[in-house]
Amino acid sequence: MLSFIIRRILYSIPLLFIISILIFFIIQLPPGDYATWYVSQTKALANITQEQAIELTITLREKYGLNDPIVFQYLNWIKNIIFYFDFGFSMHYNKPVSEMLADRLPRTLIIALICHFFATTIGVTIGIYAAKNQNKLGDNIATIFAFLGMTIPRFFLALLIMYWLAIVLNSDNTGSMYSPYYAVQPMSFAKLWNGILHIWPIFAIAVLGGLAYNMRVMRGNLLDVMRMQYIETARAKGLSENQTLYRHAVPNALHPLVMFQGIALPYMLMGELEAAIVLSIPTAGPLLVESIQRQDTYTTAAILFCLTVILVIGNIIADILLAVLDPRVRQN
Amino acid sequence: MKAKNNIPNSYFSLVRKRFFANRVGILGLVFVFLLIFTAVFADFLSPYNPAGRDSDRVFYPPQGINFFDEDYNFSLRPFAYGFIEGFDPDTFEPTMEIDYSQKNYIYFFTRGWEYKFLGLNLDIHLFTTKDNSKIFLLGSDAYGRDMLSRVFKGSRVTLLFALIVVSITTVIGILVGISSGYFAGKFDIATQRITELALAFPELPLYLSLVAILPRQMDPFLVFIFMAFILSSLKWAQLSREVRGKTLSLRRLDYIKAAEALGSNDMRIIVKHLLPNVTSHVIVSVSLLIPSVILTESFFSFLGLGIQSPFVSWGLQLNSAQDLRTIGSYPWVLSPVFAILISVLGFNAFGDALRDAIDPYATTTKK
Amino acid sequence: MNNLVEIENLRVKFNTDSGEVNAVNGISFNIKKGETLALVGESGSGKSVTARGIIRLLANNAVLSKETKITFDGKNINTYSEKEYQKIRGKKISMIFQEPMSSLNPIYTIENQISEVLKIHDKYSDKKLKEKCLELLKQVQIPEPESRLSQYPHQLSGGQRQRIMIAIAIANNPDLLIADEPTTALDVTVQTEILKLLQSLQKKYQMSILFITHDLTIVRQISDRVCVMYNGDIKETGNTKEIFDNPQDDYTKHLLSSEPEERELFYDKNGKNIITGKDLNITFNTKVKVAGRNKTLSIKAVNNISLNLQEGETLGIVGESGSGKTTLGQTLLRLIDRESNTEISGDINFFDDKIDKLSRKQFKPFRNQMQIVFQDPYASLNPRLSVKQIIEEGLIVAQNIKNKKERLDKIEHIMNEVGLEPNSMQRFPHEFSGGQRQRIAIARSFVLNPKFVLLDEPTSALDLSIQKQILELLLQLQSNYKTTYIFISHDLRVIRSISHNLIVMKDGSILEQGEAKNILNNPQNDYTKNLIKSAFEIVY
Repeated sequence: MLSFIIRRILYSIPLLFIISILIFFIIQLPPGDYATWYVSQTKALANITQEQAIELTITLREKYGLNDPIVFQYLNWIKNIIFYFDFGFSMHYNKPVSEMLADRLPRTLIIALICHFFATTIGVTIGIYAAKNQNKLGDNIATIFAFLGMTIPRFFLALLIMYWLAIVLNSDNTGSMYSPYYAVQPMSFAKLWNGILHIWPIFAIAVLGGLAYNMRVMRGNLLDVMRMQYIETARAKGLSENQTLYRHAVPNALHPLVMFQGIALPYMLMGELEAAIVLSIPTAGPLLVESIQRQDTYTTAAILFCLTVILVIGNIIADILLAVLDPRVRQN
Repeated sequence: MKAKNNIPNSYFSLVRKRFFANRVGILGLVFVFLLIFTAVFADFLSPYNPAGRDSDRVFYPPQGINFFDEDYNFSLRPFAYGFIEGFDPDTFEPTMEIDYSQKNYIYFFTRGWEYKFLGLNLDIHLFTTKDNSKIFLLGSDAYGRDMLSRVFKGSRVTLLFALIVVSITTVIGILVGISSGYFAGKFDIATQRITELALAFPELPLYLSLVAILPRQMDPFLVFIFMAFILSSLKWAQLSREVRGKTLSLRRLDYIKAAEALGSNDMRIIVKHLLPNVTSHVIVSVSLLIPSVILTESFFSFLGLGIQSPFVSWGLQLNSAQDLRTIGSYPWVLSPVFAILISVLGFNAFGDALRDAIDPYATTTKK
Repeated sequence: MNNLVEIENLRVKFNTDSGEVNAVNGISFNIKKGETLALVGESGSGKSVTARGIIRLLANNAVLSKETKITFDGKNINTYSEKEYQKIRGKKISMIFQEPMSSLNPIYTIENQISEVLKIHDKYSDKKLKEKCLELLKQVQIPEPESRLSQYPHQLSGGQRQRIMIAIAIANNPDLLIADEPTTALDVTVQTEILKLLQSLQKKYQMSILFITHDLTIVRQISDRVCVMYNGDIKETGNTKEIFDNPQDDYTKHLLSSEPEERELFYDKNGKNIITGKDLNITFNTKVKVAGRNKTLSIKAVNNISLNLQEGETLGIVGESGSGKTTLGQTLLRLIDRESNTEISGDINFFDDKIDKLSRKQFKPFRNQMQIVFQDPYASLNPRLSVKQIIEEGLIVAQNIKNKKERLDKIEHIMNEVGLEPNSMQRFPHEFSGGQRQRIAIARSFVLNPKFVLLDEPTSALDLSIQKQILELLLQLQSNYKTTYIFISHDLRVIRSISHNLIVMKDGSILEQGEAKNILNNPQNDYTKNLIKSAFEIVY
């Protein structure tokens, strides 16, 4: 079992390497770089001459090492990440990228995990209910609900909620993580509650999407499993329908669901990003959009890389979970 | 058991029968058809030029159609009342009051603004108004443009975009999937790795980054094309994995061996035996792919990073609704979302019903 | 009271999309205490539905008629509620099923699954549970029972799994055991063991057994009485010996006559050698992960086999699963080498040509002459092609006949020969029954007029009466076209009925080789003796 885990992790490392190269390459593609952007901003605001602009560009490039050959830049970057957790320097915010990541990423992660938890548990429960009452009212309602969850554009939901909060309720708890008062306070229950008041829309939106997916997959799996021979065996032993369902059918139906997390997790993560961008809640999403717009290379690359790593880890966990649940996979 | 009637029951007719027994599927098919119809005949259906600004009629609310006027006189020709802009002295907000003196009559199948259709210059429309009267069934936007016409125009862009992405994805996905599954060996291993790579990337962040590469001043048409390529860059992976899985399971079936025994070569086996049996699943995957393409494109256009004007996209229309006060005062600017809903719902319902019709006992495919 | 179960007017209907379907039409019969009653019939006869009706494990869309009366041990159980029925299931009436591969839940240990049926009906301490499980495993003769308890179903063979199923079924000492084709999916030798086990357990526990099957040999071997079912009705009931010796009903007579008969078979012993295989060795190298490392597992599928066929001969190859018979046959047709990682060595000759080393292109002209018919009529026809297209393919590819009319004529001709309506050539496979599909597959091969046809268990998936028709057809075609056959099967009766010569294979090697009659009447090898016993031995 342990060897299985180790192998799985080792296997992902070359994958991550290639991805990091690709990411770095992509980041370099837009014409110009931070220096160009900075200079154009300065030009607009401070009205400098063309010569001064060029000089400024050169100085900036020197300062940020943007003149080195690409390969060097990449190697430097990757070396710093692996050994020092140094993701480079955000040229715009004038801070090490790691600082900003430390600020935003954990939040994104925690939110994602919580959403994932709820989406899975609620989704699975509804899925079981729908399969039990196949084609009856309960199933139809659940199916419609799932449809809606997967069809309504999440940014639209975010917009609606934002509108409802800001205009209808005239609430102050919009945008940002905490109200100004709490932002500077140390963590307390009151602060936590305030935070929840601010970011519950993200939970609602992300969970809705993930829930719908999980529900449909669970329902489908369960219906398939109920047709298996061992279900009839269970009934022939004298088990009641419920006992058969929960002891024999559901555990087997969960397996494909675990495999399916490879799709469900990114889907939910995207939903979270979408909602956060629209609602301007400071997590990884809005930061990414900003840094792209400012061509803040290192920040963009860092966020992309971290998100990918999160997804890869998520997949590994899913594989490990599957091995835990299914003795056939474990023993190969 | 001899076959019952004299009409051969091809595989298609079996599927068709099962599909039409599913009411949700029929609804989906209707929606999809509606979308296609609207996209093709967008100009004919639009009463006004989608790009036509009207500074006198900014942010008009949706107008209802009446057959009776306030004196209960019946008019065969439907009409809508105009508005008088007023000014609320207390809140300093502009108000719209119905102007019962102004009747905008609707004419059907008449001439209106000019457009091109299949190379012909036409000016006939399903309905429009004459002279200077205007009727906005979905209201007008910040520039006085008819929302309805823009929604119709947007359907064309949306459908075209989805089609391009789907075409690219399907071609690559099938090519890679079938050859990977059929020939196996080293080629398969290599393509599997590449597929895994593509699947490991988080979609949204990657698209954002790639979209940012496009220069700001690029021709909107090129932006359109490039966006399509960007979206395809990751979506082919999922399709190719499904095709590969299906190919692998089909490859072991006896009728493939039988074809070999008859002397068929690889190309013939792939084209005549594998492809037709894989196609049905591809169609299902594709109809479920389109909604996600539409949603992604809408989001990007909403952010201002996607389709650029003068092209019209529903997401782009929603972009002007980002200002919360706009939503509050002029909620009809959100109406394009219904177009998104109908399209996405339609394709999802259609694809689902199709999947059930093709394989009623299908086990959930491994994703 | 001698009757354990009395069934009166059992009627079951199914509500399907195409309306109501009658599955069982008001049948009546009894099961005596301690007897084995066989319920025999072909597919669609309603025997499985009947069995499930007794234990009330019918599908959701099944409707049991209110007129049905089932008396079990003196009580009217047809009026029982679901809850009351749950008390009987697994305790008074047990059931075992056909597919040992999927009858056990893959994620629970053996101990868990056996304990479950005990815990449902009675209270046990943990210690007692374990003891009882071990005892049951010993009773069903599972080797090394202690180590089996913590194992999972996928670690056991099919025969062992079926024993576990039986252990679960007898755990609570039931009065009635319903066995739904429990040996159909097992090898013949394992089958015999399981049947013997059931008989010994029956004696020990004084159980009644209701045995569902389509296999007349099994009926003869273990049942006291038999009910013959057809199309939802019982055609005849009576003592097994009497029914087999003296059938009254027409259908029963028809069924009994469908058993493959012995016949006189001739071929020209001086004919040319059509197929020769010399020192054939086939090894499969598969990459597996053992304890985390990649290893290559070499399985020798065929071990140094030589054989020789003359024109017009039928060579029967008999063996159980894993014996290598299919691999051997398909290798002769060069259908195996494309599988990854196969090593093939040895010489194969078709008449005077050496064909084992030819490239795919070079071998193509031979395809014309060497054809194959597969076992599963559902998997061997492409569902997207019409019958015409299916039969036509060989004419287009192997014989390169460009003239459409010429092809059409040939297709019509062969369809008539195999007993299909030429008008139906535009139809698709799913519109035909299993037997008809097999005819299509035969037509596909024979339209090329091949000199040699490999028949890979062509009748194993068919009903008994259909089997007979197909065998007759194959013999007819052989006599018309002087085709040489290799007939692969696990069913000795069928082999006896059609083969001139015989090869017995086990684990890739030939155990016995020679004239069919000689081997069957005078087997030398123990394994062959076992096979013959299982196939032909009658015990009343």
